[in-house]
Amino acid sequence: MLHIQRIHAIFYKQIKDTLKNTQILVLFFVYPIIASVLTTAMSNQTEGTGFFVGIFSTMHMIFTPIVITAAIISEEKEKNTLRNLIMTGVNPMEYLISIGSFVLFCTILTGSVFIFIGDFKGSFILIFLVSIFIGSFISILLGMAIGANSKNIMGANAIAVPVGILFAFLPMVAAFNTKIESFSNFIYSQQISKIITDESTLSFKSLLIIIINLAIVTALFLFAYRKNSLDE
Amino acid sequence: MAIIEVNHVEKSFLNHEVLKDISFRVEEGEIFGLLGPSGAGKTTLIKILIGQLHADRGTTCIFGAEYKSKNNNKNESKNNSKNEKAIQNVNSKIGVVLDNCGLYERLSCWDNLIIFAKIHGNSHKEILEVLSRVGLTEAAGTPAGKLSKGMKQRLILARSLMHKPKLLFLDEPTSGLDPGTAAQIHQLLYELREKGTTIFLTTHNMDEATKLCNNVALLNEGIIVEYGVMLRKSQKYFNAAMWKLYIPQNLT
Repeated sequence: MLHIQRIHAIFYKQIKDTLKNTQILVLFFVYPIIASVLTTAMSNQTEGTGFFVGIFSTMHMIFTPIVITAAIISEEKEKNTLRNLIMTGVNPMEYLISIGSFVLFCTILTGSVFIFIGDFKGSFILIFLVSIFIGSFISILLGMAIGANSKNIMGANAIAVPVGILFAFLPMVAAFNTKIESFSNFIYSQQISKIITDESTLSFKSLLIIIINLAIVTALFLFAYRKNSLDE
Repeated sequence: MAIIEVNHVEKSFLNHEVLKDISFRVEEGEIFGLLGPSGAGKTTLIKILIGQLHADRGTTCIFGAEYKSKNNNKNESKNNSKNEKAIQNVNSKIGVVLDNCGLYERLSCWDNLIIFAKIHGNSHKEILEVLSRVGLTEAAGTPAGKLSKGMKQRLILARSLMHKPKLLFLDEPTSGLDPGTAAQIHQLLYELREKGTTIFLTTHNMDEATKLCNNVALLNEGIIVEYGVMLRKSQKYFNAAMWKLYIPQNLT
């Protein structure tokens, strides 16, 4: 049974810890800031500004949650703080829900800046927010799978960064290479990138691809979690 | 009433037998010392007792909940759900201070404790009381990473006391600390015993064991070589070679 009291305590801990962890704070803000600077620099041009918003918002909702979630979990494992939480009766699922909801909340909060940078209006704001929610959720599950399988931060980063780069940069590379695009069309980040760049691409097919990706990543997370649990 | 019962526990790592047929009991309200040189198997035994490691053979029983060995677990996994609940219940009654108990180093002492206070449902007043008991009131706002080793040890002890445990496990609680800090921790352990907390501690310091423990088990190379009342054990070993040293008062 899940206890809200414990989930709240870990969420609170993560807020406090993140406010003092510059590396994680920077990751939450880096893509919105870069997109803002580049969009402002090109503000006198009529075309091309949306390109930066599309690219950097995809990176923000894909790369950031993978790397941050894996880093938080692996740091707790490395420093034995997770063991203390588990020993006080915290259920591993309560821990993962707290960390996951924290990363999701912060990614959506900082990602909301793109609404203003891209000057989104009307129903597209909702589409963007749902996209960022789904994209971040899948990425958080990937980050959890990596964190659960890593013994320390260095080990987690060695996997999380390449995986994050692969999924986050694929839509950008696919824009210049049709062969890569034909492959990346089956990846959730590509579909989400398309939806937030052009809402008319939202179709049953794109939703189906995202759902299949979610199912695969969930299975991967469950496999990693059952194999290593959190506290070996 | 026995709080801890250890029966024929054995543990090996890579064919190296670390614990060999270990059996003992710890009664309610006592300070029990597990003595032995480094590498004797003290930390392994404490980790088995708190459920961080599984024994290869034998059973350990804490507050009536049985921690079975690896082999038993495989054979009786279906019947273990009741016992799992009992073990979860045990976790709420024990406090643990191990050398690998990490702190949130970026957070202050206060924040380190408030996380666990929120989990256990303690008030701010109780956090202040615990900080005061371990002598860290003035360091409440200091990040844990900037504390000295002794202060970190006291903070870990404070954290383990947050939920007022009935049984406290301490793995070499004063190892590497200066005599003053060690004495403070000893005083705190006395006070806890007076309030009815059972304490299980490991140490390689005979003097510490003599001061604190009611009963001891002497562990050497994975075997309990002595077990019983501390006073009798110390007399057995030290009666034969008792020296008195007189120091002149005017010695500078």
